[in-house]
Amino acid sequence: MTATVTTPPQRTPAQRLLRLARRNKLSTVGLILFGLIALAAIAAPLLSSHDPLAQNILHRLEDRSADYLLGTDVYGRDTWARILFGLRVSLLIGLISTALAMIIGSALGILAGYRGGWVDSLIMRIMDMLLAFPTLITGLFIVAVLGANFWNIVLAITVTILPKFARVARAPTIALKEREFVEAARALGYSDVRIMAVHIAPNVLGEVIVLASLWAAYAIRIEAYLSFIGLGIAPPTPTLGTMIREGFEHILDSPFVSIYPGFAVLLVVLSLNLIGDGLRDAIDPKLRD
Amino acid sequence: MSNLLTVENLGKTFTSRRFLSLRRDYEVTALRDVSFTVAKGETVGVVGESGCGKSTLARCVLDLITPTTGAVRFDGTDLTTLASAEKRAMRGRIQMVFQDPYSSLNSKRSIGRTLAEPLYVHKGIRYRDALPRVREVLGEVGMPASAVDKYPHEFSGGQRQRIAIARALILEPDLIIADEAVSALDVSVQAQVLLLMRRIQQERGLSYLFITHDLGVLRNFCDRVLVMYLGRVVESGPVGDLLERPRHPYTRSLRDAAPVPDVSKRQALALLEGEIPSPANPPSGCPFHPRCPRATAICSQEAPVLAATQDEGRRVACHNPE
Repeated sequence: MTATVTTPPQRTPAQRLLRLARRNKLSTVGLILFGLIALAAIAAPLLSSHDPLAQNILHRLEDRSADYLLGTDVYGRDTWARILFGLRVSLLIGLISTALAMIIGSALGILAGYRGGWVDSLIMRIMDMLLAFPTLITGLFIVAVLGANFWNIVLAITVTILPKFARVARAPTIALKEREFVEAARALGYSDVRIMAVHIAPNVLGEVIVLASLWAAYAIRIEAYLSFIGLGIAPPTPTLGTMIREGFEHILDSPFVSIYPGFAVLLVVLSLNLIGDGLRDAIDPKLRD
Repeated sequence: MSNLLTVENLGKTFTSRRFLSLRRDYEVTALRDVSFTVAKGETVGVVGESGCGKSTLARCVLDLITPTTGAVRFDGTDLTTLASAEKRAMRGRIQMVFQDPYSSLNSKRSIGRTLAEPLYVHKGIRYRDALPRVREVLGEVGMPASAVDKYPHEFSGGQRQRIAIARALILEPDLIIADEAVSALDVSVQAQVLLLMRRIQQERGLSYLFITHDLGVLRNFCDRVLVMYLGRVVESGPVGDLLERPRHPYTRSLRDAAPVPDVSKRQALALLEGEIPSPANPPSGCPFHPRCPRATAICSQEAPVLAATQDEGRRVACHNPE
């Protein structure tokens, strides 16, 4: 019998990406969807002929028309334009707060896992305290105390989702610090900061990124919640949550004023969740070929 | 020959204290009163069953863990009393090669980055400027210069171990501690790596502290050997003489337990009875007495000390040596 040795075919990065996309159709859909949404938000002034803030009382609560693609709200503002500009604010808040939570949360989690002892206890008990409150309550508290503006909302969302990142970063760190390459790094006299940043962080990154894509969707939802109950960005700046709340007052006679921005939230959250699921499958070695 | 490394009365006790726990605190003495020297250019082997403190010894010498008692003198300086900055500078002079080449290299870093990093940390040399030296060290361990841009998963176990040796060599250390460095490799690859290590030793005059459980490797590679049992050195001496005529009953049983390839020369195995006792609850007196065929009354009461014998360079810790 002859043994056949099969070497895996060499693939270019583009081919690898295509292969990944073919095996993961749903998350490819999510990626494309999110790309389109992000593009639309960036190109908002080009895609709408109306000023999102311009009121026109004569055209209030109008139905869809060629001029007003998705109709108008109670002040006669173009819903399509407001959704596009609202997406800008909502996406920005969602992505900035997720990025901050990811960076700070993972750093704290890695520090807790690597140092252990009282540092670990201190950091993780604080994280447990934050986790003990329902996320929306923590957010509400921060915004209510500090006032509702862009950066306070970012801060509120960051603090509510940060503990999840700390937890997810801590567990693999504890496993990694026992690995011999970390011991080798210590034997070579590297500083603890260097070991954590250069040797542990990249190995934790995969799991953290998956979490980030899932929590970004959640962050956008929290922003919508906060705006819905009036603790979001002050009007007239459109955000998706604010739009839903404003339309809610007229939900019985013109429901679409709320439904369209609600649908926008749905699409953003759905696309991010699909991406997150795909990433999780790609990183889980048990599902890899 | 001057001594490069002098270890004196080294002891390490791990204590487990649990805050507000109902369980009692317990102590594990992993090392007890270990003393030995390594001369320049010498290879000292450390042999013993798993759990006997071999790895703890290596990590104490490297100062990865702080010993409870005793001193580690390297080239005249006591490492245990150095401030942390001085210690870090010293780190380049003692290096370690680990058992598992699959976990001793960071899989997310290219070989070039892994090898250039020590130069950056200790000498501030940037990656680009470090590359010629990195290629040179790769050549020294028999790896192509093209390995620089590759990642650990692209190499076999033996190749990875060479890369790990290259990493240990790049700061030009005086002492390399090899903790079961060839145990995870195939026999043919083992021989290659050992030959490589010996060639490097001859070229650079460095010393090895070579931890192993493989007596064959020990016999071929080491000059002197320490036999450890439950955290103590029970016998030491030149490797050939020690394996030929073991004085300590434990050394004998260790030697006799090694498989003999020639069936006609095979004797009935005089295997030890029982398991190695838990270091958390060591036996009284000589730690080996519950399993020792030569044990007498004194063995369970008094621990023997490692004392010189009439043979050149041989020391043994036994009340009834052979």
